[in-house]
Amino acid sequence: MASSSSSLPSPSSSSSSSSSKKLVLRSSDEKHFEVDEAVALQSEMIKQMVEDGFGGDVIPLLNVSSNILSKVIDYCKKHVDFDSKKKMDDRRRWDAEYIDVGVDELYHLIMAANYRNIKGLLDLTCQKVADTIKGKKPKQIRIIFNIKNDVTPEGEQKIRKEHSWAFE
Amino acid sequence: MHGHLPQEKKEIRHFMNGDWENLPEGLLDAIAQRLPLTDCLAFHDVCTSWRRVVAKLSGFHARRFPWLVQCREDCTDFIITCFSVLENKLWELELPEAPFKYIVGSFQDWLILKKVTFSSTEFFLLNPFSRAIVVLPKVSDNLFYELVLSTVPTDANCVCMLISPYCNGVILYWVPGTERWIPDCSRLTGGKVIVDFVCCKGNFFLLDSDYDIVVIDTRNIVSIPVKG
Repeated sequence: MASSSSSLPSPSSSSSSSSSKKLVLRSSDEKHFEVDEAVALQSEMIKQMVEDGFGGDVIPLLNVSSNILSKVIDYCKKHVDFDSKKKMDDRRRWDAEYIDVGVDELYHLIMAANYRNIKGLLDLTCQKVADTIKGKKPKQIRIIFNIKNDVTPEGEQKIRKEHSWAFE
Repeated sequence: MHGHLPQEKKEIRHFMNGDWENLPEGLLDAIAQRLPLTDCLAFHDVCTSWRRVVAKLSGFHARRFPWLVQCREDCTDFIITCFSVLENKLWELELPEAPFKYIVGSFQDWLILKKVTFSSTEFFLLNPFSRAIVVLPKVSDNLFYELVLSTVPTDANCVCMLISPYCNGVILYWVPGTERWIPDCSRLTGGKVIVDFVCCKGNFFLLDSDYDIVVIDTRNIVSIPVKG
């Protein structure tokens, strides 16, 4: 069986997990996470892998580090619970708290959600980025997200050329 | 007694820096689609890869609430002021293409710019989101002209109608890919003054001073310049 690690999320106490099948996920830094199948299947990509017969082995998640994976698993676990209870207010409150993270963590979450194809988490992370951008000037956005301004006058000219079809 | 506050056990987590600039296009697209127009413009100006995504947004104009662009009299400046009705917010938009041109109108997400000299009139179509600019052929007089578009200029079936309403209803057509204006030979307007005009569902409708309505089907126009 997979070796446990310090960041192994504790087994869920929710009723949905009592007798369900477990899957083991391996992060890029070789840590193993044992999760209920229902939790892992929140990811469309893992669902596909299980359908293709990968379920019995450890599922390697090559570009997700353990700290991000544990956070992603938190999300999936919670949302398996939410799905069975349908409490929208609780869900919203929990999501808001969950996504209150720095931009670097947010980046890895959005990438993991995209790569793992976890729709709910993808919506949540994209909305968080959009909310962070709202009401800001380009310069402020660049500072927040640590982006270099590569829009030189020459670059601008080039882009304009690319989008202009006139007289071609 | 003031003791040490127990240091809260906080997990220290380190994350590699996020590479926001090179976020996959699908994600940037999903983010941009969640932004209101003015924020989408700010998003657009952040860096070239973000800009590219905004320029590609499909049906960009269709999802946006209209906003007002100040029609400037003094046109030496390249900052134009816009007003978002929905957000009740003023927004300054930098348009390096704008100086010495009048903004005379808009069509979907394109601005219609006009430059008039003593001997010529020139129209430009500028998309402030993609920054695409379409330069229409110069007309070598400075009559009072107005421009009507049948559809966006990126559509190959687009027909631009240039009309000088007070000058015996002079009408010229231009279609993408050609280099000159084609005069209207139909004489449908009979040389009357045109008091109003509009394009709707592929037809130009002209209202003349006798309140007669002239209908011109743009599909008939497209074939003329292509053949010529």
